[in-house]
Amino acid sequence: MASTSIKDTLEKFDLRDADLRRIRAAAPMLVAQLDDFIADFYDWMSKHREYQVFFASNPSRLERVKKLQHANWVTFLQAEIDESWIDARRHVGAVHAHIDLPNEIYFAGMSVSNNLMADRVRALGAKVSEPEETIKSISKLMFLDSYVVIEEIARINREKISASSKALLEMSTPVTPIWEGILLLPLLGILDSHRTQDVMSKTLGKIAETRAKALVLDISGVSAMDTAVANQLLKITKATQLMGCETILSGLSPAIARTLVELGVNIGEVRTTATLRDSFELALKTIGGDRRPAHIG
Amino acid sequence: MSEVGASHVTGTRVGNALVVTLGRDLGGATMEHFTRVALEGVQQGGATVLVVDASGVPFMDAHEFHALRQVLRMAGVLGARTMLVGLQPGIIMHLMECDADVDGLNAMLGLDDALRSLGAEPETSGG
Repeated sequence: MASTSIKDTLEKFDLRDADLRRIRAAAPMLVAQLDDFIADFYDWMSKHREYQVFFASNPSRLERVKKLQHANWVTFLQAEIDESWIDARRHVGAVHAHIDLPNEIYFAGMSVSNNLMADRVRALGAKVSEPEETIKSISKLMFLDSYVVIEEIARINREKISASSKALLEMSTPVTPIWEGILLLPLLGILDSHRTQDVMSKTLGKIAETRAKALVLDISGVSAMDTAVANQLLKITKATQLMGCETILSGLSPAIARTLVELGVNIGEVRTTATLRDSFELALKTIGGDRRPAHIG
Repeated sequence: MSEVGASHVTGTRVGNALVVTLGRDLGGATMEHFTRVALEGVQQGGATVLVVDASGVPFMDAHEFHALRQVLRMAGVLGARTMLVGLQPGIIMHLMECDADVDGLNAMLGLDDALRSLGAEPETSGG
């Protein structure tokens, strides 16, 4: 987060300089009570299931987390909102994302912390000037703190999802060289335009890499065939032809052949076969025809 | 070898074939030069095979592709067998997205494959 956007964010949360000054003024007195504060927090937390999950079997972890929490609240109360303050909260978010902490207990914890902090400000009485205003300021900063943490958790989760869908897409387009100059691509599932794009780019990349002359596109695993899917397949065929690679469709079932004819799809000059075996034979002929006799003899 | 410097179009004779190499930019002037180099090479130079090498072209829109095809068709009318080689995967993806007309176009990835499949005969005199 750049300094200008930190300023924007502070403005959105209505955190003015006066708010931060109030928090800083109360900080030394509140920091002195932090051990007490954290003890109260864990009193509350111990009544919940998550305490058992995360700490019951590991007391040393509890001690470590308490220490980290202490340091975290110290910087919170110092209220110097800069890049490193934001980064520290992001780190908290990353740790929470890593342990899969439920949002429910996190927000409940922040709400409890807010009340515990407010109680302490009130208990300080006249030692704090403008106690009610200070409580409000702390509350605003608490919301900002939670926002940064949750945003980081959400970002990490988004990354996880996009990485796994990328991996899935990767697995769904296994373009494999099966013979010198022949690639095999068995297609499974549903072919939509997004998937076709991916199939096309992977296939073209592989053709450029392997200099293949024939691509066997096995569609026996394609779950549904309609005009749109047929057109997508034709596009792949045309694209590979532009790289000098002949595409042979294999695995056409009687049902698919019937659908194609009934829909009036013009598959033009695309070579089609019912079985993979026939396709492979055609592919061998294709690469053989393009080679000098010395290479195939 | 004949070269038209400003537009980065190079025509090279390989036996009975004329290989025209396109540069990075396919702007209006380049296309003009390309048309002249290709058609004059076929008509006056007597090339029976025209191979256009686009492997150095990083971007090509549907309009430029159409213009390129027109030149290949013209060379076909003049009696030459034609082939486009070295189209980048990214360009092909783009052409497919634009639904460009690619039917009937001869294309290959490598120049050697193209020359071989078109039956271009290299000169054996060592020239």
